[in-house]
Amino acid sequence: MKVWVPLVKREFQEDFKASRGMAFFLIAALVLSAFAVLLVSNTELSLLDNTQAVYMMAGIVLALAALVAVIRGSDGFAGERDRQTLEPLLLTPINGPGLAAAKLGGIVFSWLTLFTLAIPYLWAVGSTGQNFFAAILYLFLAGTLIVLSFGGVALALSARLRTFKGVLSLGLTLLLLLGSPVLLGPSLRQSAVGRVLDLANPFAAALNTLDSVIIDSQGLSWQLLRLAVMVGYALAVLWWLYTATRRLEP
Amino acid sequence: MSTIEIQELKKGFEGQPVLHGVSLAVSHGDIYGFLGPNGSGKTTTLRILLGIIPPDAGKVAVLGLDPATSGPQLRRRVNALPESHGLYGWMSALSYLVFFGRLYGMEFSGGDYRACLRRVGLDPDDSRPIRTFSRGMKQRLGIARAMINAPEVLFLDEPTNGLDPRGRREIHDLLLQLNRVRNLTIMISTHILDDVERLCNRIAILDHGLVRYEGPVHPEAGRQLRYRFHLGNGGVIPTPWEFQGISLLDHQDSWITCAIEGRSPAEAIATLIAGDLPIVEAIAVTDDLEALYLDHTTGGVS
Repeated sequence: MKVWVPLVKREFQEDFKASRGMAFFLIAALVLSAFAVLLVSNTELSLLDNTQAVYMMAGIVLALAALVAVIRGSDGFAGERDRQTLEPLLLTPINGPGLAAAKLGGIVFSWLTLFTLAIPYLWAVGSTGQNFFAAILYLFLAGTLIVLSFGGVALALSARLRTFKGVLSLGLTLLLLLGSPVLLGPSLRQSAVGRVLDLANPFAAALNTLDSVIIDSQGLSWQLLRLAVMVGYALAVLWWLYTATRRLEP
Repeated sequence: MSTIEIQELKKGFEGQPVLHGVSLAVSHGDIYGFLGPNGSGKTTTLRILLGIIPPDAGKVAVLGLDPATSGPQLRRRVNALPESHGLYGWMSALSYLVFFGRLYGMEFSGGDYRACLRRVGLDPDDSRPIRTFSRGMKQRLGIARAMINAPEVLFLDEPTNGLDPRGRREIHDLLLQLNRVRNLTIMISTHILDDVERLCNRIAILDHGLVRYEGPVHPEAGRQLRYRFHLGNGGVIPTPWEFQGISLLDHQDSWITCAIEGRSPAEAIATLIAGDLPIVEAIAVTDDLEALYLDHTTGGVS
């Protein structure tokens, strides 16, 4: 357990010391700033009440979190393979699942940084509205489960496929596919197919949870099924990640 | 018992066989050269020995452990320098070494890490990022990383590739020192014959996944030594030649070539000097390693 600590620390340090890591947060800050400005200055958007503004901003944070998880996960093994830095790690006594756990820990740290970065923006657009603290709490919960799921899938693909670009393309396609039901219109979402797609999709489950908590002020009991879907996905992905990294090749 | 033992090792990728039944043994304290053209299976063999990839068939033992089943346990006792440096460009040399030391669970102080860097000729106070280092400095740092867990066996894949002659000589000296001081067993995969001449006492030549030659660097070295001596008396030699264990093979001007059996070169030289042969220079005669290599290889695999 102790030997994983430097690995997680290195993943975290890479966010701040390597130029690529800093770029993530700079882009995230720019996106959040742009949306915050739109929410307060755009004629139509500025008419939204605070809870809706917080919901929109939370959705953007969630989408950014999934995107960062896919990019970081794709880089996890395939990127290291491209940069030829994977082999020295494989020469250490740490096994594949141990390396994967450390890398997933690094992705969760990136999410925590993004979450911390997002709080002032959420505060700026919705601190005076109701359910603000519940929004923060459920964003953290849903975001962590989404990051574990998408980051885990990207890491597992990264362990199996050879190049970072290949893994990233596949990861982003998967993210778009899982995100697309969210774009369905209200009538289509009420249909049987729409409801199944909505329920079976972890990304939709996360957004619907935020909608339910922030807009509809519903309590924990209303969220249990959707949380169970997200936890189920996360556990299935972690199992897949474990099996995919048992034999890592340089 | 050998430190490294391989018997009938076979490995293929996507249906294409790479190793067809490699067998060899490396003794404790050897610097063992593993030669062969590009694509002959050298790196694949090293990765199997390190437990990074599993073999398809055959028996492999390193320090008595099977790398396929005891990989993490084995990797605590051995280490390797892969062909690619695998360095993090944004780290400093010291932070890179500390990172790997902790991955191996080494309980080192800051002073210990600094001593490791000094041992390979790097300045521990150099805080520049690794990406600004020269190739030679990166190679030295790679060796420092490979020595961080005080390994009993060190595997090196093309350790001097891309280095200038001075850089190569420095790496040679460093490896010879490690071998002598710590009695470290070293296995070097290379196709640079100068590395082998300077460093190795035994070699295996691999070609198309098979060991074509396994033995001393100079095949005759196990049986007899050959030396050329420059005589300070203009080339006058006693007739008949009566030096026991020293046969005269050739005589041209002031140079003689002798085969030495059953004694060391120093003893032979002392005997010749005692016999009124004023030796001013002695040169070991070796069979050409390049010829040996070319005899046993048929070219790289495309």
